[in-house]
This record gives sequence, structure tokens and C-alpha cells, in this order.
Amino acid sequence: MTLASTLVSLTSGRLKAYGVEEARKGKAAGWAEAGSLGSSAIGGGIGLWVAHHAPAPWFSGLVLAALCLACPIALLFVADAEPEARPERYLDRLTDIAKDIWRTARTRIGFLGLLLMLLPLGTGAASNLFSAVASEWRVGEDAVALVNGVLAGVAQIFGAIVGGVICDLIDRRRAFCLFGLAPAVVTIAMALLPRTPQVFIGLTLAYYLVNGFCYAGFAAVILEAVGRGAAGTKSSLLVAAANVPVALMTTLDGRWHDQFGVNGMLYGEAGVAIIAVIAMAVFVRATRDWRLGLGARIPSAAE
Amino acid sequence: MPKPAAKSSLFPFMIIMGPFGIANGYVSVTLGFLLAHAGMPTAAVATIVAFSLWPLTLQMFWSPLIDTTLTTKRWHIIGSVLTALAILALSLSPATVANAAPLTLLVIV
Repeated sequence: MTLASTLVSLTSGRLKAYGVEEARKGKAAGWAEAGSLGSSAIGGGIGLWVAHHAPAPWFSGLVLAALCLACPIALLFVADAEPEARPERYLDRLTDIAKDIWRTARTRIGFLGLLLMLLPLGTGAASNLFSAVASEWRVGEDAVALVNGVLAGVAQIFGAIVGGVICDLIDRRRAFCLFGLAPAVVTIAMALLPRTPQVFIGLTLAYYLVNGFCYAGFAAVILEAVGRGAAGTKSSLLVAAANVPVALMTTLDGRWHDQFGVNGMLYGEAGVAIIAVIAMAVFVRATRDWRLGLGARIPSAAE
Repeated sequence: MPKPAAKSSLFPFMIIMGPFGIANGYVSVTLGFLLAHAGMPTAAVATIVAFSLWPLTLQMFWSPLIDTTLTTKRWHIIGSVLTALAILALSLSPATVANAAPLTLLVIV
């Protein structure tokens, strides 16, 4: 099922890469991420509700399968990605993809995009442990379920749409870095403020909201970096790279929590994000005129 | 040369991502609940759910197919239909420990 669903996300990326003009790619990324988050809530929420209330467990599968089959109707309202002239031999097509990846990796926009994907920014790792640590804020189970369930989904969807708009207003890589700092501000506030249920609920929702910003920034950076050509393959490589810091931060947050308590986890995640943004800023400044690959200067985004 | 991009509504991109998100939500929440409800041990459920992450990391191996064959829309329809069939197959499969291997395979593909 997941392999099949990647065909959907990959084609969505290609359709955006080809069908959306450069100035609106941030918004397009935001809408798509909102769609992914919203439909995930449907897959979990409606699926679970139907499973609870239907006479047979397979009924939830039937409902969700019907929804999956209905979604491609939206394809009628977007232009198909027109492929550039493809070589006759399949091997030549693959060679073209390899050349395209290499070309993109050597552009400043592609190279910095890849670097950003490897940074531990906007991973949302702390949210995996919010339910586990909620008792420190004396939050009831129902409130925890509500905040980390439906309300988290709404906050992330709203954040993704707003984040996408912001990505069209300022430089997308800069936006992603700023978005990546926002969860750090929230986790520091969680560590410093009094441990009351109100603080937990407010700041947890704030975390999910800025996490939605990060989702949009992440997708916008990828969309900008891959350009056209082999957009599907290039975006899949960037997504694979982005999974590394997510897995790393989830592991680190768990360890810091066990070793240093909740504050250790909160300060740890914030510290890593701040260091990552500073390192990125220093790197960008230091490599303005850097040469990559076969002696070619990395073109700037404006070029 | 590619056609110049036309200024159109971006809302359809939200719907287009539907099957991807539904699959994620189904496997992590609904399937997890159904399997646990049927008496499958938590560790076995967690293992099956964890396998769903593999294709997200390995998708670079089949993504060239989308860039080099058929049209993007056709691939999207294929992906949506296969996702729907996989969800249906998963919901019809017996949620037992003995059936864990076929369930895992269905979650992956």
C-alpha cells in the first residue's frame, strides 16, 4: 500500500513542478502538504470511526478505498506534466535522469536544497513524545487525545497553508530556516513556563502550527530545488535525505528525555535547530562563490 | 519545450494528495487499531506499521519509471487504484499472528 501511495506523492510533485508557475510554488506546496495531513487524519479518524461502528471490520477499508478512487477526479483541474522529448531507448532515458540529477546537484539552488534536507529542522520529533510527557503538565487523557489528534491536524493543515503563502513572499530556503527555528522557540517556552494544562495545550498547538509551516517550507524547498526534468526522481532523493534527520532527532529526543528529563529533551531539540540554522547561514555566506563539480561556478537562484 | 504554466486554482493539489495521506492514516491508526483489537500483540503491530516507512525511503528506485514512462496523470491514477485495492485487501485479510507476513507485504506494496 505504501509503495502504491508513493506513486501518488511522486506524481503530485511532478504535476506541481510542471503545472505551477515559479512564484506560486510555495502556495502549491502548502496546499499539497495540507492535503496530505488532512487526508491522513481522514484515513486515521474516519477509518477508525467506521471500524468502530460498522458491522464488519472491512467496511472501513471499503470507505477509504472509495475515497482514494475519488481523489483522481481533481486531476481534471490541473495540467498534465508535459514530458520533454524522450529518447527511444529506455537506457538513454535513465542516462538523461542521471545527468539531470547531476546538473541539479551542481546548481546552488539544488545543492543548498539537499543540504537543508539533511539538517535537523522542522522534524516535529518532540510531538512524538507529547502524549508521553503530558502528565507533567497535569493534562487529562481526553485533553491529550484532543490536542494531539484532531486539533493537531487542524493546526498543521492551517500552518501548512499559511506557511506556503509565506514561502512565496520571501526566499524559500530562508523561510524554511525561519520555520525550523519556530519549534525551537516553542520548546524553549515549554521548558521555561509554568507546567499547567493551559500552557501545555497552548504551546502544543503552537508547536503543531509551526510544524505545519515546516511541512510547507520543506515541500516548497524541494519543489524549487528539483525544477522540472526528472522531477519525480529528484524529489524522491531529497525526501530520502530528509528522512535521516527525522529518524535521528526522534532517537535523540527519546534519549535526552530518558537521560535529562523533559527539559533536556525540549532544550536539546531547540539547541540542535538553532545550531543547524547558524551552520547553514555560515555555510551559505562562505560558499557564495564556491565552485562545485567540474569547475563550474554554482549558479545563484536568480540565475 | 514545456508549456508555460497556467495560473489555475491550487486547491486540486490538496485533493490529489488524498490517497497518500489516507494510506498513511489507515496504516498507522485504523489498521493498528483493527490488528490490536483482533488480539495481535503490540510488538507485531508495531513491526507491521514500521515496515510502511520503508517505501518512503526507497522510492528513488521506482521514481524514474514515473519520469520516463506513461504520463504523470496515468501514474497518479495507477497509484490511487493500487492504494485503494491494497487498503481493501488489508481490511479483508485476517488479523492474526499467523497472517502477519502477508499483512506486512500488503502494507509495503
